[in-house]
Amino acid sequence: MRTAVRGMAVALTVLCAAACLAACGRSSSNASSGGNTSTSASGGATSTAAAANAASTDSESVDTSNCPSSSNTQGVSSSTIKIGQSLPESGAFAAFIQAKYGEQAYFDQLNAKGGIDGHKIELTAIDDGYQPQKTATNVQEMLQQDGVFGFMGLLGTPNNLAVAGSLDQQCVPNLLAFTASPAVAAHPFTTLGLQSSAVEPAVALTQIAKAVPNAKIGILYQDDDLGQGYLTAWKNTLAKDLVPGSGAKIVAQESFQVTATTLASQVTAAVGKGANVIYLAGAGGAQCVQTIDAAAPQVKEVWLPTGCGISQVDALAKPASNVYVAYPYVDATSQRFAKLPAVKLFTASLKKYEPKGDPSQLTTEQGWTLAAILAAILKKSPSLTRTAVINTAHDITVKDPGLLYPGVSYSISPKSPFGLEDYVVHHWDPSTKQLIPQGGVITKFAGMSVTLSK
Amino acid sequence: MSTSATAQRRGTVIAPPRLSRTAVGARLSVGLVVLVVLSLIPLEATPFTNEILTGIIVLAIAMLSVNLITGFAGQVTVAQGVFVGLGAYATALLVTKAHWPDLAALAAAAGLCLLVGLLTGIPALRIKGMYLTLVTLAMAVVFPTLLQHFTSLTGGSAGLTMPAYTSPFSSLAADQWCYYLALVGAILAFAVVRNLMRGRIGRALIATRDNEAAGLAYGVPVDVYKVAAFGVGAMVGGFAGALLMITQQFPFTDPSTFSLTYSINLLVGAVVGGITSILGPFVGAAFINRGTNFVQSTLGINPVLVPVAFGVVLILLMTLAPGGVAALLSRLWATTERRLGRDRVMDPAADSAPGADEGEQAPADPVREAPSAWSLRAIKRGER
Repeated sequence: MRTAVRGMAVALTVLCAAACLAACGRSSSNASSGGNTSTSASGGATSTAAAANAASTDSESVDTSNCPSSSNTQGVSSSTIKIGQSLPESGAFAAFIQAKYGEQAYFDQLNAKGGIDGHKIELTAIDDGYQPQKTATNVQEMLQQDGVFGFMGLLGTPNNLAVAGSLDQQCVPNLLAFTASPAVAAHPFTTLGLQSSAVEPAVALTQIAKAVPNAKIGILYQDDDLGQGYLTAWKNTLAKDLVPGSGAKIVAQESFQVTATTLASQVTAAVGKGANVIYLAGAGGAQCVQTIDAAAPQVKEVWLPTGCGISQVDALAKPASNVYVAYPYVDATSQRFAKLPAVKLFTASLKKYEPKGDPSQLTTEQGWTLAAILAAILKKSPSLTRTAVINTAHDITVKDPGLLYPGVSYSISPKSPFGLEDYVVHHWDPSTKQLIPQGGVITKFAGMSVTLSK
Repeated sequence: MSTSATAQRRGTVIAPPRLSRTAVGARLSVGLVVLVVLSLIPLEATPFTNEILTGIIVLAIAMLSVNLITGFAGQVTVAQGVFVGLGAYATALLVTKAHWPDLAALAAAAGLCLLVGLLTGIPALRIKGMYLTLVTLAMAVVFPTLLQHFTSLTGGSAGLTMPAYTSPFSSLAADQWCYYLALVGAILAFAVVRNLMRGRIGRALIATRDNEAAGLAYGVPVDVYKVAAFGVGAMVGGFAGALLMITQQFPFTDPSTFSLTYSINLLVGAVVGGITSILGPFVGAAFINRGTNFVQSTLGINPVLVPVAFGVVLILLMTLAPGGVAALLSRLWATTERRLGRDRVMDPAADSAPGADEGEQAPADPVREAPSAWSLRAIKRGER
């Protein structure tokens, strides 16, 4: 006992002595290097940080004065550009591997045509199982071992948050991240690739107001940042009266866990509070069908988030005629768009280069579209350097890239860091089992994501 | 049959081994060589390799805490991730919000976890065996939820970042400095645990692990030692968590890092390395840290099947070597020693306890090899 206690006492004394030495001798220069990413990654500080960066210089939206010039062209050779990606290929989120197939297929067909000004795009992807610590390791590995130029489609909000700070410090572009989180958008060297969920409620409300005046909205929200984000967006949409005359009110807010196997109790609670429109605020997956099964018979309209687009709704068991979803992509498997050149290119490329890619999955389409936008950025950039590319990425408009609905553009500027804010309302047709677009592209909420997510 | 031989076969005699001078010398020189190699690696290796090795070392310290609580004290725990997480978050908060120096925050984090471990150890006395494991499971499930809930303190699911610990030596790059920090921390932690286990507490813990009634009968203050084991185990876990933050190039932590899966991985790695071994955690840490990468990239297995491959490896390992890799290696070491003629002079009354000195034991008789609390022999004896 004495030896052990003595040993522990010695250990603790050593630790304390070391701490004192460190306290005396440590330089305090860390504050500036860690600056951008210190603890306040929550909503409030983000838009201010983005605005501050936007205001830094006239010609540049990102402050690149501290960037090392030696690595500015890392990953670019006379014939290739190396791009890295970390995404889940195994585990609970393994289905997201479809994004990689979509991207790879796009790059393969682009490379076959000569690439970008003679540069072929080489995509390296490493599995991270949706674990942020693994994402961080993968990012370092790709930077140091594979020597990539930058990243695209890095998947997951916590995963991006784990690396965004380090990529800022190393001045590495993290383009078209596979997330729509405002906290991620606050990092200067990261741009978002997914459609903004902050404007979805406003888009939904334009349709709801037409069919259900003075609607009583019951929101089923996922118990995490995504669900909370939708809730905030709803409240802001109503508070700012973005759809005048709708008369809509939120009468119920019921949370659920991502892993829930049924949403029946939440729906019952919402309907019990008088809801006649149910809005699902989640990431998609099984919850889409669960909501429809539970809610469709009881309310006037059921609204699903973008994450429920295409195949998940296509797989409905019970027919329901009051289901709506807003998303900005085309359904590549639908007859309606079969003749669209973009769709033909997509399906043909998947078949030829990535047979494991499933054209009926929204994720595959999203990957393909992100790749198309990346190609546009690289082409438009005045030079293939990190500093030039990141500035181009923050200020570009790409019309109808990839599989976006005709008329929807990806448009990002320093004042408006969310590139995808246009939507098309779709209605589920039980007889043809397809999502039918209603009306045209709704663009009037573009530029509002930042205010709606505060 | 002499009493000592019977006692050997039962594996219940508890006293440290006496080794001949040549055996001690051999061990010391191998240890020294290993230490020198470990110290020279970062000077030549790429920054990425150093970062990987640093991660493995820190994970090994966390697994060591599992060994202490589960292997030596016999309490199966899947909550060590909670203490690692507590240490990481405490460090991050002290450095960013209270502006403490990194090492002071590390010491405080370890101290905090010692306290919390002692406090959780006390109610744990009332709960035995599988029920205790279930309670630790509950702790591991609740912990990330708590972190996500107290957003203003912990940053919620966005997590926390802090400035990296810059190297005070201009000749050392950041990745090298972090590696040495982790190495020194590991040596410290392993020395503390090893001395604890070789002392009276350690031997008493092992005795009560295998037969609590006998321990009580001998007047061992079982309760006190179990709580102490919990406390020290939590402290080592918290120490690992603090190091985890301090040795990252771009320190970041979030609730999803310390999920139930993390705690289970700690246990799995500890068992793979050798649950009652002091050095086994290094092997376990390498297995958990790089195992999936190895299976995916080097063996080229489809990512979706990686968990299956993992499971197969585990089953094989547990069937062929329940004492973990450390037991395999110590058998190899013993065979080598015998072949080289450097046999020990054995004091017949002084054979080591089952598994207490995994690295030292050189069983010629497989019966004497009782590496883990779940060994078949222990189960047959009806003790666990």
